[in-house]
Amino acid sequence: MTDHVGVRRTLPGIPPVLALLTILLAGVVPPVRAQEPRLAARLPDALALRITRVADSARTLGLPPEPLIQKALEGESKGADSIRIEAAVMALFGNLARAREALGIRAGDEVILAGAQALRLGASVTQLQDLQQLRGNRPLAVPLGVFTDLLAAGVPMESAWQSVQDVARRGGEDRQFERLRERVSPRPPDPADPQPPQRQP
Amino acid sequence: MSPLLRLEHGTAGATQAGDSATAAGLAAAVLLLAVPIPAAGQVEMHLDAGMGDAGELRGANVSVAPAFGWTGRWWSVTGNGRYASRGAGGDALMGALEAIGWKRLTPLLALDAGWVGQQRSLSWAPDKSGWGAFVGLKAEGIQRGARLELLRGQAQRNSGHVPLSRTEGTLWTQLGLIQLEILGRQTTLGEAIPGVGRPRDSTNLGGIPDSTPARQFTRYTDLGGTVRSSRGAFSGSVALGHRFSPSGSGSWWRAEGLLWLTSRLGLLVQGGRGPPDLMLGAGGGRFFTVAFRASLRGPSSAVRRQSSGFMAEGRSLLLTRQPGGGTSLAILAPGATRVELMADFTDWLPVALVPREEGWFELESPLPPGTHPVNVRYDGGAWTPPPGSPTMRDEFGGVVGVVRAE
Repeated sequence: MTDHVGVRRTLPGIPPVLALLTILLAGVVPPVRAQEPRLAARLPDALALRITRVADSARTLGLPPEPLIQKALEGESKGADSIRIEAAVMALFGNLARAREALGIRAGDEVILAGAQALRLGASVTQLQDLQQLRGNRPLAVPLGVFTDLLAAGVPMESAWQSVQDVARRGGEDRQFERLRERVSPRPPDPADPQPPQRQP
Repeated sequence: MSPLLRLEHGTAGATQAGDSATAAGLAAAVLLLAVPIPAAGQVEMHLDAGMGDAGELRGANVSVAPAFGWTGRWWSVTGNGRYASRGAGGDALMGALEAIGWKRLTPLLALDAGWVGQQRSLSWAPDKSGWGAFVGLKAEGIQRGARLELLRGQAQRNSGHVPLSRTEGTLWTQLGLIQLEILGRQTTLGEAIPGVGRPRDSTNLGGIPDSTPARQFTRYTDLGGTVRSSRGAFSGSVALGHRFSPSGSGSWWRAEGLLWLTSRLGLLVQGGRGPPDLMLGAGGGRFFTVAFRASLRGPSSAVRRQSSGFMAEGRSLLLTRQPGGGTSLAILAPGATRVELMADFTDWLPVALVPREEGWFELESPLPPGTHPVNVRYDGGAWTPPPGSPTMRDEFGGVVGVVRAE
């Protein structure tokens, strides 16, 4: 009796080819990693395990895992509780995934992270896609970073987007985007400011 | 006048003879090089080696000039030496030292006191030692680009000392890549008039002449401006000024260019004509140097401070590109005794910044390239964004600053 027959016997109802594929994939997918040492050292065990899994999922999806770990460590340093830390990590995971979707698989980690920050500050996926199209094959990290800084500095979304879009349309160099940043005088946040939109994955 | 400028003007002083002076000068130079370094982060040191022609060291065709600065929380010591040779014409050795202590009374006001001295030994001219001392009150709003200093002290004049008072105001501003500084200074010296005495007791009609000479108070007024700029590995400055005095007015100028070839080795070209140093009584003169500069820490803290970036609320954040790559971070926090930082590059663990001179605190290692969320706190207080940086709310009820490093 062949293995093929054996598979057919043990997994009734599943096409043999799919069953074979599942077995092969099980050998390819990495086993669950041990807890990330920095998380294990500073977070409760259960939370550290959950964040490690989120980071592993990010890695598998081609998203940078380090920002997720850093977000958890930031929450721990600032005395946040487990629920808030996990919510912050999951929100970042979602924004990273949306940024990846908008910017494509060729975008580097820095660009993905800048995109995620822009999304957190209220930018839309469409804006990220538009900016990427305008830039073509040119680097996107600086334009996205400037866009994020303008939003962080309190520039209204419409004005910030218009400024960045104009430079991008003219085929501007990174230095020209940097000049946009230099024009903005940063302001301290006002407690009355609305909270940035929180998006779940 | 900055310590560095003062010391360099000191290279052109008059001299007195004496083997002991030679030994003292040599000892001073050795001391400059051998002084123990308690913490590399608090020490600036560089050595210029090349060709020079400075004041009465005119004609010197080889010179080696070490310099160091050692700064604590309330004091600083800076030293400067120079060995010059003109071959068969002889050698010259000069050492100068300046020590300043200060007590910050408020974030904008400080009391300071200092001493500056120099020892020279020249085989082709007489030797000389000289010193000056002062106590001063300094008001400065670094974030507002203004400083006012009032001081009284003793200045070296010929073989004795005379009273000195000085009022100095400085304004500066950043215009894109260029920093412009305007200086105004008035110095009054109570110089002795030899052979003129006064009665010991004016009521004594048969008054006996006093041996104390009469004093003539002379005002020296300096007006000048400096333009500085740095871009990439190059930094340069041009200074022009004019001194008005009863004994004659004169202009002074100075130009300097420094190109960092590596993070610690640079090529220095400087030249100009300095005014006489009123504190040390040393004559000014023309100088010109082409030298390689080897530095313990790359660009000096003074250069970094001048390239100021963000400023707000009496505290400042300074990000400076290092010539060899990387970005250094420093925070001006007048009145603070401890400044800590945490960010993604510290795994969000607090790291204490190293205290520097006059309220500056510096991160010991350069920032990794990229955009970083950063928080700082002062004397164990609440975590806040770095002063003047773009900010955004974090997810934990606070605010985080955004710092970009290249």
